[in-house]
Amino acid sequence: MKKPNLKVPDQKKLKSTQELCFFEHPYTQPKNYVELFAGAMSEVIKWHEEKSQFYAQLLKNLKFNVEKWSGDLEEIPVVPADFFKLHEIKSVREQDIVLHVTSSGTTGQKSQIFFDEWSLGSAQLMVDFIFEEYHWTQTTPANYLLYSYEPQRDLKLGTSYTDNFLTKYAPVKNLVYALKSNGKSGHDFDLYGSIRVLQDFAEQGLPVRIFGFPSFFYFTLQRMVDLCHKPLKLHPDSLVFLGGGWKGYADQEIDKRKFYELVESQLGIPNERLRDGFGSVEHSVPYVECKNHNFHVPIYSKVIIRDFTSLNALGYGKRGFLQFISPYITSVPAHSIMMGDLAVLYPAKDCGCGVQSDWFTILGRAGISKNKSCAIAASELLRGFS
Amino acid sequence: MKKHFWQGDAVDDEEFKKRLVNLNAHILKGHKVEFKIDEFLRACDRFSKRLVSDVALRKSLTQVLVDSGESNSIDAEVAIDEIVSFIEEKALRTKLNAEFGSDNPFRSQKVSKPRPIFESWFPLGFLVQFLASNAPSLAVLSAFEGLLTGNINFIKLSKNSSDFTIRFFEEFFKDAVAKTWQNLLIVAKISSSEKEILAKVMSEADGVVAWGSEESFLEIRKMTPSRARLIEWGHRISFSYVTQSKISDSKIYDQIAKDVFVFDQQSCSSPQCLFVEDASFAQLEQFARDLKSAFVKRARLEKLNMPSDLESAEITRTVLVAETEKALHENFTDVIEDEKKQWRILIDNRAGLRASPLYRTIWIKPMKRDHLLEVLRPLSQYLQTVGLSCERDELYCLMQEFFKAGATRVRPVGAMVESYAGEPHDGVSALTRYMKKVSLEQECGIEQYATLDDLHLNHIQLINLPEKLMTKEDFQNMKRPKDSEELFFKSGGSSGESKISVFTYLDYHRQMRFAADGLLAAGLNPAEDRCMNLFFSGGLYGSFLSIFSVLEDLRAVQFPMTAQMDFDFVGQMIVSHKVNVLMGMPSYLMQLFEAKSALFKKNQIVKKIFFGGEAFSKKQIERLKSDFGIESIVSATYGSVDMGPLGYQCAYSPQGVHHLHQNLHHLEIVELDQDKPVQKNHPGRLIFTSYGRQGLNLLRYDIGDLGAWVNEACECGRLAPRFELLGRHGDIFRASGAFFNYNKFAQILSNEMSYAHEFQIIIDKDKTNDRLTVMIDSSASTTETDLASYTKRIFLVKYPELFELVTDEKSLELKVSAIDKTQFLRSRGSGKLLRIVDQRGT
Repeated sequence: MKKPNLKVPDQKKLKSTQELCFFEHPYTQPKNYVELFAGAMSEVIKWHEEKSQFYAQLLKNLKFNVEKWSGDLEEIPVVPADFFKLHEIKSVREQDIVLHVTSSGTTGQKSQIFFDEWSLGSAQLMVDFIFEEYHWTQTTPANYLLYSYEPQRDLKLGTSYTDNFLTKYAPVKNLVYALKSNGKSGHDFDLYGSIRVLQDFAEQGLPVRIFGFPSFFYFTLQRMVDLCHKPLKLHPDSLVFLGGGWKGYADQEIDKRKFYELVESQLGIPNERLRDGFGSVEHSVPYVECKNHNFHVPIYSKVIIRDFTSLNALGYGKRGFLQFISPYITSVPAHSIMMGDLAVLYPAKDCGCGVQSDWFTILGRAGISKNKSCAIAASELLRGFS
Repeated sequence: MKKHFWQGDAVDDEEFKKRLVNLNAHILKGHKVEFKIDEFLRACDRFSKRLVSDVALRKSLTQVLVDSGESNSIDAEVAIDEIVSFIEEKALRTKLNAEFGSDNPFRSQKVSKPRPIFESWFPLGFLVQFLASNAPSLAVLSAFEGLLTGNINFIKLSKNSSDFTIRFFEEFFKDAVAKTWQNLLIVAKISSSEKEILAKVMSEADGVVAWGSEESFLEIRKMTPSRARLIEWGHRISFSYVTQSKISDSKIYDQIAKDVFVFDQQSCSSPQCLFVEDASFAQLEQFARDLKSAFVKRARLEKLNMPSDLESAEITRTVLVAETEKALHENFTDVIEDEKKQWRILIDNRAGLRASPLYRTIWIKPMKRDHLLEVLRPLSQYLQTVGLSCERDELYCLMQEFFKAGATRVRPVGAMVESYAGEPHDGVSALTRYMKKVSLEQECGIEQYATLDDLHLNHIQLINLPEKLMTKEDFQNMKRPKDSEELFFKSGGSSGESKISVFTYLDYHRQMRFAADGLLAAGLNPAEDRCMNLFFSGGLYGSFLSIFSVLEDLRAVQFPMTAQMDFDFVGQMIVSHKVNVLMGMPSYLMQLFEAKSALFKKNQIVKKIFFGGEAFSKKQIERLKSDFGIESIVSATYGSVDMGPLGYQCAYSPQGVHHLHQNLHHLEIVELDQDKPVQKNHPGRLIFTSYGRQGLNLLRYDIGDLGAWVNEACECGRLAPRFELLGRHGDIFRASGAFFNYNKFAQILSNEMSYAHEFQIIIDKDKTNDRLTVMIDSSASTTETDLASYTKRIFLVKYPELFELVTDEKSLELKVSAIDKTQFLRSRGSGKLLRIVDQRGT
């Protein structure tokens, strides 16, 4: 599965990074894992320090000297994901950028993240490894219903790109987008078209792959229920792999377990083949649900949960900020990044699915409590501009 | 569990849904409620007082908030106090007046001079209100605004709200009068996801009030039917602005600290950002250091509420970004944070407005005055308060920029969150949004109407009235708050010490508005009449000024002459300016007509007389009409200085008969010798209770007049109750153990002798017996050679009680003296005739 041409931008300086990212078993630690990971991080910190004036200054301000670093991951300076929403920061030359992605923006702000070939490729490679791990690559053709934006010229939105490349794990028989380009640089959700497509796919009997935004998929199923449509029986090897969150429909978000029950009853796809993914433009390492629907951390990254106020690392079982550490990214100094999401980390054994790595749950986002303040919140203010 | 409140009943989910099916019928029930603003304001005031005095009630309401976790006990008390002061009658009237220009927007008002066109405000109808649960008092206050404007309100609270609002209104409606409005309120705790319920409710909406975030508005907008008016009260952002001239003013730092610290910075008028005009980064840093000292001081003074986890997270994120940005450029950002994380100052060299994560977090930024508009205008829909510190010569220019950019309030630093009663809400008068302005033109005999309100009977329920009547003395001894003392008028005291009546301007203008209505009803035609105001002025007398205000209010042509004794001049002005309406006191007018008798006989220009202060006799009226061609002589108004206008005469009112100003006063007529209502139309004492006098509770005031109900419907079509005036209490006097009435003497003189002049009764003592001396005008008759003894004979024949005491018992002496009219004893100030002069005590 390895991309033959993929390599780190500097084989000497990023040797451990490449070694870590090329490791094929996403949930099994290689020998000398701790040293390998710390080594890779050390490499990527140096890389960015050398290439990014901003990052060098940041290390200086925070008095972090990578040469004297103990290898303790908690000590690595963290850059908040919000920072990338406000500034264009690059650690590679303009000509090395292969993709410039704008996040679809939960709160109206648009993230700008730049990828060089390695950063993009290594993240995709991780997806390859995970699909392998779960045996989701197949040779029999599948029908695809993508709850993502139908491509059009100059579209830079991240999720669409992801869903498109996900079609490589099974040959495409038919591929339909639920969010159709309307020819005027916008998209319309084709609800009835989606229902028809599902009915069609059920008749064809091939495995079906449904990827993309959970919200629109949910609206489709709910409308089928409202219209008293007979539940469909899709091929049992069908796969639902969602991602991207509920975005503008957060108020209609329903409990995940109930959602999966609805999919099972309406489409007949077994519960363990219904998976959600967690990822973001600022941090592209894929976190994919196990069969128990928990997000396990692959070996390519580390998760630290930090206290809301002190930012001290909290360990297992406590709610705090979600920090990701991974050496995979060379294009932007986002190798140690603090997300706006709040999460709790659990040890592998607490899941029981058999995957031997820690996992986390997401518990919302930081924000001003709407119940208390009548002062405007940042997110609302920015909507004025979007 | 009963979690909703439906038109007076606590109901559970099941019952709520059942009633929802027939929502339309319940709304119609609400429409049947007769809403009277004066009753409502009084009930609010009663409840406001109860919230202060009823300790158990207050405790239970506080407990609801505390138990539900909606607020701590201190904030709960603050919330209740906020309601207490909001619903005080005075505050509500001030608010109404500020927003509508009148404290009774429901009143229909004639708006054009010759045509019968009337305008008034009218409730929108069914008002659906979406409340954000960010302040415990907000739902209650918003419900009050909906009720105050007479709407039928559906208050949608979030599903997990406390029972505070429901408990509050359960108690409010326990008041006997308030109970009649319970069909105007439904409070429901429903989730925004219960779309079917909301759709049903919204389908009936005439108005929709939305409190909350832009995000919540999107859904509400979608659900709002096109016929309904949507009123959005969104979140706002406020900022401070300090010019270079004020940076060195050490006072401002404490003031800014106050703005940032009060309410934990949660109010929409709390500053989130502070702009220092034309500041360099070094200046921003110095500013932040100075502000830091003020924050440190302030933090020691106050009990600070700390943020929740999610809010802390937001603060941490924001600080972290600012810290990280320091690495981007030199002099770009900086952070000063309290060690205990109680506050923080974020310095940012970019000019744009930033929202703060609050809890004492402020952005300090530079701003160029020239860029102000450009930077702020994109956020215009969100801007609210500017806390400004600048020099006077900078004010005008800055004010223009702020208002252009979208701000709606500019306040001093240190007082950003403060407000005043009747203040516009985010740029509009809130209450006017809850009502519609309606107009009417009809030609069915309402041309002389000033208001259509008198086409129905406005019976105000008054409860908790005191048993004891209020006397003039009580009135004088009333304590009134200093802030409601604005206008001082002399009130009586013809003999002895002067008495004073005090008004607020609001009271005064409301009363003049009604007096103007009365004058229209009495036949004044502001479109054509040319009026001369001949009332007395000066020396704190109110009559001239009142009439001036009334005519001004009616936009009538006016000659403000006052009671000039230069009759030549007055007469000349009347004739040369074709004055057809005279307004003044009978005694003055009689003098004028007599002095210029020839002029007015020749030039019969004056057609109408509106009099006040005292009465014309029948004979006087007849004479004025026959000699000078005057067509109409009616009372301008019936009123008193203390109480203002009380009644008015319409075109169909016989002499002495008045309509009550029913929207200003309540009238009782009680027996002469005991305080119980008279039978039918028996004569009695007139007892008035006034609505809405600022700072004064005028309850059951015995004004000193006698009268009787007139029960027959009036031909003018007005349903305002009618009564006939039967003289003054003071007209009744006691002599030699019996009661006599001045008016009886007047009646005899008028009926038996066609006497049309003034007369006066002097009571004194002749050794042991009381003596009555009736002074009559010697010019009254030329036919009787001995006018005095003739008059005495007539009195004895026509007044049996008098005959008995004078002739039979010989305990009373009666004298009649004919004197020159200049010899009558008159009040020094007003020139009013003293009808009865009791000299027994002197």
